[in-house]
Amino acid sequence: MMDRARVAIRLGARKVTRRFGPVVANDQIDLAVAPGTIHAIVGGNGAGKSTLMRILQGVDQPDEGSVILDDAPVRLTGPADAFARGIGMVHQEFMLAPNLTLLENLILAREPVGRGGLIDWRVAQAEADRLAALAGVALDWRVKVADAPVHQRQILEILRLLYRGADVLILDEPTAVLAPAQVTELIALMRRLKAEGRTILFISHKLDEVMSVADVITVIRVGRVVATTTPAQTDKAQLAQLMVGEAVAMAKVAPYSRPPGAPLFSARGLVARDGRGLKRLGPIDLDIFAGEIVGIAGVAGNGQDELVASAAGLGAIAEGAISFGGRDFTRAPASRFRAAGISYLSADRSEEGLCLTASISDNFIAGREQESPFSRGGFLRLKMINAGAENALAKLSVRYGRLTDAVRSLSGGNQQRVAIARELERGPRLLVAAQPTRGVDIVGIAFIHEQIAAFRDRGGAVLLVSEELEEILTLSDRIVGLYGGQVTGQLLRSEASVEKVGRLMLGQKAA
Amino acid sequence: MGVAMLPALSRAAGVAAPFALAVVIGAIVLAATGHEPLGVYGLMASEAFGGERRIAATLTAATPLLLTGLAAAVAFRSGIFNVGAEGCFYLGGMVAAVLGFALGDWPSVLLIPVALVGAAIVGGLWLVGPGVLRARLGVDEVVTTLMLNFIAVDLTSWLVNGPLLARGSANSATAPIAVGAELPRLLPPTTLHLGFVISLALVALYGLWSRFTVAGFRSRIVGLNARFSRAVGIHVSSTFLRMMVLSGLIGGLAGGIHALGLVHRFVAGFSPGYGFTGIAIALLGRNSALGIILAAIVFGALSSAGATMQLFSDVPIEIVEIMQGAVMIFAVAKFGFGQARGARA
Amino acid sequence: MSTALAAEKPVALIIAQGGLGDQSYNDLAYAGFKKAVAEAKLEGKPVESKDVVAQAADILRRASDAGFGLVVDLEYSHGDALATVAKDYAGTDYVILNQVKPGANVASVLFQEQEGSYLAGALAALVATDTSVKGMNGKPIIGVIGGTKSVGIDKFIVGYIQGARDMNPKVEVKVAYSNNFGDPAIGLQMAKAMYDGGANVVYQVAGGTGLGVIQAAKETGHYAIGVDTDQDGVAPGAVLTSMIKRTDVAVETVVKDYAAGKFPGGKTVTLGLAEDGVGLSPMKYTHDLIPAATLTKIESVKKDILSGKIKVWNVVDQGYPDFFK
Repeated sequence: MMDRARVAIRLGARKVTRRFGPVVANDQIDLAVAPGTIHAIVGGNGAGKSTLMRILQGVDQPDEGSVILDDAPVRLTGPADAFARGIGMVHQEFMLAPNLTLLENLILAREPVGRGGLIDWRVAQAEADRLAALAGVALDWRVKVADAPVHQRQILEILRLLYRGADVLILDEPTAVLAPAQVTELIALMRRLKAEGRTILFISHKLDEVMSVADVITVIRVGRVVATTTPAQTDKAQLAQLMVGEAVAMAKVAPYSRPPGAPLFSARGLVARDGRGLKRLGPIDLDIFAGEIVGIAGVAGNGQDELVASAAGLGAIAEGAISFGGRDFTRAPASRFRAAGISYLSADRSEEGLCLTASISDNFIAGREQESPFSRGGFLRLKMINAGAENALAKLSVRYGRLTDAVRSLSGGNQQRVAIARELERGPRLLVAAQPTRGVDIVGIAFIHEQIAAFRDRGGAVLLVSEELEEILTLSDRIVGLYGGQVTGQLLRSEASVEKVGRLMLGQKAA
Repeated sequence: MGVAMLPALSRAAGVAAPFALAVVIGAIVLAATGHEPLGVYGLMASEAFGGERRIAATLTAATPLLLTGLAAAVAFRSGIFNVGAEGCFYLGGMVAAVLGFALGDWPSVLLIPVALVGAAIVGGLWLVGPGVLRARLGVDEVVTTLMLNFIAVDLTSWLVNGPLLARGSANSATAPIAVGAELPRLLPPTTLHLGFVISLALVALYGLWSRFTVAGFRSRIVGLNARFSRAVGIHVSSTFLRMMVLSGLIGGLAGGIHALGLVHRFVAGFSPGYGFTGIAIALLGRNSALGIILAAIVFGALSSAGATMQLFSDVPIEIVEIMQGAVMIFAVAKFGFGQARGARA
Repeated sequence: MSTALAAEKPVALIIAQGGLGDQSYNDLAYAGFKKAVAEAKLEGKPVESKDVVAQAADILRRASDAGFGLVVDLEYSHGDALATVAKDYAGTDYVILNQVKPGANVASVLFQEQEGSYLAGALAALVATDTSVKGMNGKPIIGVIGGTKSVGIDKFIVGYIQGARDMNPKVEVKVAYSNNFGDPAIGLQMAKAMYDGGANVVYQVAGGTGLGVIQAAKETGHYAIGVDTDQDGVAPGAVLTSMIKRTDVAVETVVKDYAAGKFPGGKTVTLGLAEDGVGLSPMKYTHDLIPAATLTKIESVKKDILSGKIKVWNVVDQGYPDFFK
């Protein structure tokens, strides 16, 4: 590492261009990450960040230009090649074996071998302790990954790269799954690694973090580098403007007034299980009134998924009861939830929120195919379907080619708009919105927020679950904290702050 | 609508590519074994399509494949990997043959529909079990339907060697069906029979059903993504069950048509694997009506030409079997990275 | 019908289910076909198909249209189709095996399986009570397993029982049907039950299922009798003998007759011991185990059948005898 300190560019790109058909994903990108620095890349959806990362990992090859390592152009043959040159990456989806312990995952495929070809567990443990000390974290190495909290898994991913000898770490949206306190912890870890002489390239769209930790910031928009700057030279507003290329209009949300009448949706003593049959939620009580947005604040894996599934009629309710509009829905199938006017925006857009391989109009009509005017006597009325889809998509400013195109061909933001069009156009009374803006760029986020707020203003009820604290704070009329499957407290928006909500998310009762 | 609107050209290419690869492999094998590939292929083409009688033979051979391909397709498009059409084919054939001689004094207009409906019903009932197990408990239908094939083949074999064996017959065969139960021939003296028209019509009907009906839409969406379907309120498990039973109905009908149209009785070796060839046909045809028709005719041509070309050359039947095998492998390979096996519930 | 000119036309052999390479019926027939074709200097083509059952009429018509002079069909299920097609093609001759079909240009070939089975039963009864033969318990018990209860199979079984009883009136013949021609596991199980019940020798008339009978003989140290082809080598020493049906002789004979302008159209050709169409195997592995006197006795029985002194019951022609209802 000593000699590497003398190079100017540890990892970079020189005039990298990558085309996919007519789309230029990367257009003459120049990037220079100096050794021993933290370099942030920011950009909206479809800016070309992922393509660039794939190229820097050797997963994809540039059409023109080249990757730079230690000041020299190189041709990476794949992630293994990149790794051999000291470049490691932590993906958004962790690549860990869930049924192995943290220690086993750490040494997986690089096991220290002792006498007789057996794994030398003492060496392994010593190495693990050394890395934990270096990173300043405490981990229980005997726990299985499946049972470890998300932030520990992420730290494990980072330590694994260190264990394998990486000195350049690429982190893809590392804070997306973390609570505020854990974000602070991660940022501290990044700083320590930098002090150690390691180089970090991280991708984020959270401008607060970027401003606080990065030495250099590169902004990418539509495949091009639009600015390379430092926190000292810029501010959040300027970065946001650079990212989207236009001034960002923030959603306007009307002030909260408690709607009158009985709750529209109500859960009593609700206990719910996850897909593996483990109790993840409850018992909890929760009411949602027509005309309000109830935001659920919590770190991923604290029962939100089970709450969402229960409210959308997709979950295994173990105990307790759910009622909607005064009727019992505890054992009702999903189809009855929908028929009664409950809409659902899934957090898992690609697997549950949309059918990516089906067409745009199919995605719009799905679930309503038997309704008038889309069908009559069991036969679809394609003209009515297309007219209805065109109309609804136009209202949501969805940009698409043809209705028959696969929804997969749309950008993330436009995909989500198709899902929203389907879920709102059917005139629901309750919208269960899980991570409604995940993977959507700033412009899209504001637009989606407007749609949700407008729905509320029309008298709709919204159960909003989000890991984005900002989103919860912006949209919610009431904020309910969820931790370990239990309600930790409730705040009206007027009394909420980042710190107070953060405490709810970590299981500390609201002050 | 949707994926069904892939440009016709690329669809045709998708069907043709495995066949073209198989032709190349066949040519290599032919050349390596001292045959002249072009000459053999010329003979094969003329034995498959050279004149009215050969075309009729090819279409006759394609008839059972149209329906077993259809049986596979209706299941596959809903995300059910039903491999049980073979068993349904055997049972349907047995039922139609038995009704065909047991009710022999009935008039044709009554006898034929009753025998065919009986065959279809037995095929459908046969797959209720796997359908329920898949829909309710998520039991893998590949295993259950495959096992049921063995049971169906053994059951019919036992019946035809025991209680239903024709008197005086040394071999495993039922009595012949009554003349009134035989499906009319279309082009005497060729064996092309009404069953071809029925099968073709059903495949065409399926094409319309899949594009223009609510049920067709639902089964497709369920097949593409079951989780999504559930989230938008489509009843996934009942769709699974319905499509499994529909697949069985068609498989049973296929066997019934084969018994009444061509074999005129049930015999050991009633199906040389039509149910399994149907799987390849559905994969090759990407579950589309046109694709199924084209693929069934290709396999029918290989079958009819493969047999009779031996009269005029020394090319062994194995070359045709290699080509059939190659088409199937490439069809499945295409399927492997072309589309997933369908999202599991 | 058959003329000198017809004999110059090519001839075809339609292979039955199972195809060439079955080391049994089809291979044997094809060997006879090749021999006859070569000697008569004819052009001969074998036709195989995976879908042979369904393609009956199609293949027969194609061969007839294409000017083949003789079509020998080995597939049993083609009987009806062959009779129908033959009506339309007076210029082509047809041969069907193991059944009788009408038509002036159709020859039917039947085997006198009861005659060969008679010899098998006689041999089995003689050795069962002969404790000098290795593995025999001396009790007059033997068995037979048929693939299905039908006259075609009972033709074998009745001949076998008759032969055994003529040697030893007190013999007990256990009879069972597997209702299956393709499952050796069933054959194994049924044969073991018979051996457990004291049977010394079990005759199998059940195709592939019968391979399990031979397996059971090998495993338990008893004897089986093979059928159709020489199965003595399947388990050397455990197969007492095999009742061979000379399909090769049958096919060879009709093809040569055709070539010589003597095609037996409209007739039923029966091949029995006299024509060498059926008979016992040479007993390559068991010959030395059996006392010479026993073998001599079998030879004399055979002569008696040939001379007409012994009349072997034919279930197909005569119905069921009193001793086997």
